[in-house]
Formats: sequence, structure tokens, C-alpha cells
Amino acid sequence: MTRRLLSTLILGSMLSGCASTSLYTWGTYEDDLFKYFHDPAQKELAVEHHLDLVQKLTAADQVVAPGLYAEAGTFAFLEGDKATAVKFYALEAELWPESRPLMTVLINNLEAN
Amino acid sequence: MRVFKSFLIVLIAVAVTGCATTTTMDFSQYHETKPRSILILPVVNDSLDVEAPTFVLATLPRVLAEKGYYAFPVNTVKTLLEFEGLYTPAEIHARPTSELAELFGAESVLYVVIHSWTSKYLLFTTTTEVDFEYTIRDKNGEQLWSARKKMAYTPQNNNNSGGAFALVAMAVSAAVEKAKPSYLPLTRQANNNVFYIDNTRIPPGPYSPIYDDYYVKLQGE
Repeated sequence: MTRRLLSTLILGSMLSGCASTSLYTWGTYEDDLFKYFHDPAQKELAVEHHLDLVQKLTAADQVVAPGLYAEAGTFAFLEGDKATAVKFYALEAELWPESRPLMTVLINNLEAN
Repeated sequence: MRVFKSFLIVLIAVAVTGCATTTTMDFSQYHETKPRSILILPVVNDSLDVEAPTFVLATLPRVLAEKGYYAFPVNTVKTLLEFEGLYTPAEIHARPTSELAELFGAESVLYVVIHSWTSKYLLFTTTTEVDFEYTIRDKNGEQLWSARKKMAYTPQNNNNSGGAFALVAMAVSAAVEKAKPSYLPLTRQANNNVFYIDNTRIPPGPYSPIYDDYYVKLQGE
């Protein structure tokens, strides 16, 4: 009996090991970045994907991972859409205090120009 | 019997520690600084593969954010550095850490250098290898942590039929590995090992559910 318990414990701790549950949903963020950097034909699609991801997470009331709103803002900014960029930078700042100094600078720059 | 017993003890020890290995690294400076955020700089590439640095760069935010840190958005950072006139990773790494940290309001900065990113094709085997060096500095430039990781992968064949067929199978899997080398799985494994598993694994960040426990325990020691 004790033996059984022991082996169950061993098995359990072996299985759990270093496994940890995810804090955030990343969707295809990494893949989108590869495409964005290396595949000009898929660049637009990668941006679209990313915007979809943050919108879906926001709609589902899920915590959007660090940096994902900011990346959406930068994609928008590079496409010339300043208003959307400001909106996303503000969301990043609101959710992640560590991003505030940078986001404030970016928002101020965009609003000044 | 004695052998069996000691084997069991080893097994239990392994099971209890899980994937943990004994910590020999000095984390005192890291523990004192307790950075909340990590600025991931563009990756310096000493290999010949032009895609390598962006592949590595894109795999880092998730690893660090899941560890509980605020990881700065890598494409936003790269874009802003370009606006500042800093285009190449080498010139970015050469700037004072304090200047970069201040520019982004970061509490720490991660530098990654790719030493090797190759796939060597011999007649019947292809070996893919990556070798990375990671360093985290605090916002004043003081080194908090560093690790170096080399990973290699050679596809194995379990074809026991022998003879010509086995050679064909080997050649095919070597060719497959050559055409599509396992850089990404190796990169993920290297990241995972240095940040989560090896004795270099970094302390949890402020958004980790075990952050408070970690530092409370540390004070008790």
C-alpha cells in the first residue's frame, strides 16, 4: 500500500516536473514575427493575424501578454494609422505599468506630430 | 539487491527534484535588483545565416513573459532603435547599457549572441547545431546573469532491416534535415534550458504566481 502510494507520488512529481501552465495566450505571435521579418509576401497577413489575436483576446476578456498591444500599435503606426497606434499604446500602458515610460513617449510623439 | 536499492534512491532523488538541478550560480546581484522588466535587444549574429537572429529574437518574449517578466515588444524595440539610427545589432550591443535602458525605461537588458547556427550534411547524416550566449545586465550595465548553450540534433534511424534499405532511409532523413534543419526546435530547447531548467534558470518575475513565495523563502534562508 505504502509502496503504491510512493510510486504514485514519484510518478506524479516526475510528470509535473518543471511543467508550468501558461500565463498568457500567444496565438501565432512568434510565427507572425518570422513572417513579418522574412517573408514580404506574407507581411500584411502577419500583421492582420496579430491584430486579430489582440482583438480576440480583448473581446474574450483575457489578459493580453506583455508587449502584444504595443506590437499592434507599432504595426498600425508603420502603416500610417496614428490614431490606432495611440489606442494600442494606451492599452499597453494601462495593462503593463513597466511599459508606461516608453508608451507615454510614443503617444506624446504621435500626438505632437 | 543493493544495486537495485541505490538505483531506487537515485530515482526518488531525481523525481523529487524534478527538473531542478543544484544551483551553483551566484544570483545575489539578481536577487537584489529584482528586475520587473527585461528589454530584449536585437540579436548579434556570428553565424552565416541571415535569418538566424530574427528567429532567435522572436522566440524570446514568450519565454521571459511566461517566467513572469514584462518583456519589451521586440519588433517595437527594433523599429524604435532604427529610428534612433541604430540598425545593426552589433552597434546596438556596443552602446552603454544605461543609455539603452533609459531610452526604453527598462529595469534590465538581455543580450543574446549567436555563436553557431549550422547544419552540416555528410553523406548519411545531417547534424544541426546552435550555440547561443545570453547575458542580462541591470539598467546601470552591471551583469546580473549569463549563460551559454549549445544544442545539436542528428536525426536517428530506427530501421533495423539493415542492408540497402537502411542506408536509403538514413540518406532520406539526412536530406530532410538538410532541407529543413531543426533550428527552431533547437532554439526553443536552448531558451527553455537556460531560463527554466539548467542551474542558470532565472528567478521568477513579478507576474509569476510563485514570485512572492520565491522571495519570502529566500529571506528565510
